[in-house]
Amino acid sequence: MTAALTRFRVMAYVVGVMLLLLVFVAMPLKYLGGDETAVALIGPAHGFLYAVYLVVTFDLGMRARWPVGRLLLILLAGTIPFLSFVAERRVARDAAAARAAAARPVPEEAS
Amino acid sequence: MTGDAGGREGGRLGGGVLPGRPYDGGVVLLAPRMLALHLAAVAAMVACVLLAGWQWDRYRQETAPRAVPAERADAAPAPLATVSRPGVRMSPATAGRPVTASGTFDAAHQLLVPRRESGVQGFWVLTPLRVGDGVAVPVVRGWVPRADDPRTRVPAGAVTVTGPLLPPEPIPPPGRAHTAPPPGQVRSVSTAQLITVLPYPRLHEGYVLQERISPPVAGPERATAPPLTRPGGTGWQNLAYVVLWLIFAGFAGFMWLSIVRDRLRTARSERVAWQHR
Repeated sequence: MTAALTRFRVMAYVVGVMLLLLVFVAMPLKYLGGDETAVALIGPAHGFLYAVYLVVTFDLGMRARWPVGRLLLILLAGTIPFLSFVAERRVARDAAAARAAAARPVPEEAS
Repeated sequence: MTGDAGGREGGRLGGGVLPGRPYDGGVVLLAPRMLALHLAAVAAMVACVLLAGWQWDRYRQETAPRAVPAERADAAPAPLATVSRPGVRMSPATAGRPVTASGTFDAAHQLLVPRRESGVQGFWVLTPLRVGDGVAVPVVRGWVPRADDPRTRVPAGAVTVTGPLLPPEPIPPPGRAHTAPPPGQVRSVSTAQLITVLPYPRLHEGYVLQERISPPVAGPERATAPPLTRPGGTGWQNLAYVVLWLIFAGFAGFMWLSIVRDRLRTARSERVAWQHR
């Protein structure tokens, strides 16, 4: 699970950065500056990295038994700038909370 | 607390199933929540395939040869030396541009190129024009219906030819006739081939299709310039997107199957638990 979580966090960051580059660097270069090369390179790269993100997110979601709705939202988060970072933070925080809950000693039953 | 900290909506088998009723797979698959999933999965797959199709169309458009813009043919003629250097590949922006070339014709190396004009079989008259020291440019002076037409006579003295600078034609593949053309003829105006039959170490790529000559002299009928096309691009970006969208469609299908299988497995284990209650 930890490995799956790490893979997800790495891909969420990679996809998030690529999307920011695409939307805030490559696209202005193309539509305002007339230079298409950045989009031609970053576009397909983001696409294939997003496919990898889909796989690792699905993998984590199945292991962590996420509800389908949550899985879909996190998958979609890779398509909106900044949202994949938000998703990564939420997932990491939930995972840390779950680990903490599992490690907490069982409280004594009140007799 | 079970392991699913987030809760599993739909882990319970959709709504509308009475408690105490035995669960079965068909009910699972048709429960309202599952129907929504089926619909979403099919919609996603269809959308991805359509998007892949769109990118495929864009790929075909990108790779198709493109017509050269007509405005280029209307540009004012420029001296040949300003748009072309001998031995250097013609830049795509130059093809079809009107140029002027001044020099003397090399009558000894005139060639005929079999060519149809207006449905009549004849020959293009191809004469090298010496424009500098050891430098020449092929000039298609016009078209004649027969090889012995007197209009093939080469104008003497210094001339200035005006016309579009056209890209070289590809060497035609050996067709039905595997024999070499008769001496004095070539099958196409191909720089790669002309270099071997003309004595000029430095040849401009392509040829000038003569439209005007100064001083004016009667000559062959004007040849018709072939329609110019630029080769299309590689289109690799669109091809990459086609593959990507198909991968996404496949992934949507895979997710759909995984969730359905998971729900069925849950239903089966819950049924077993219920049966052994």
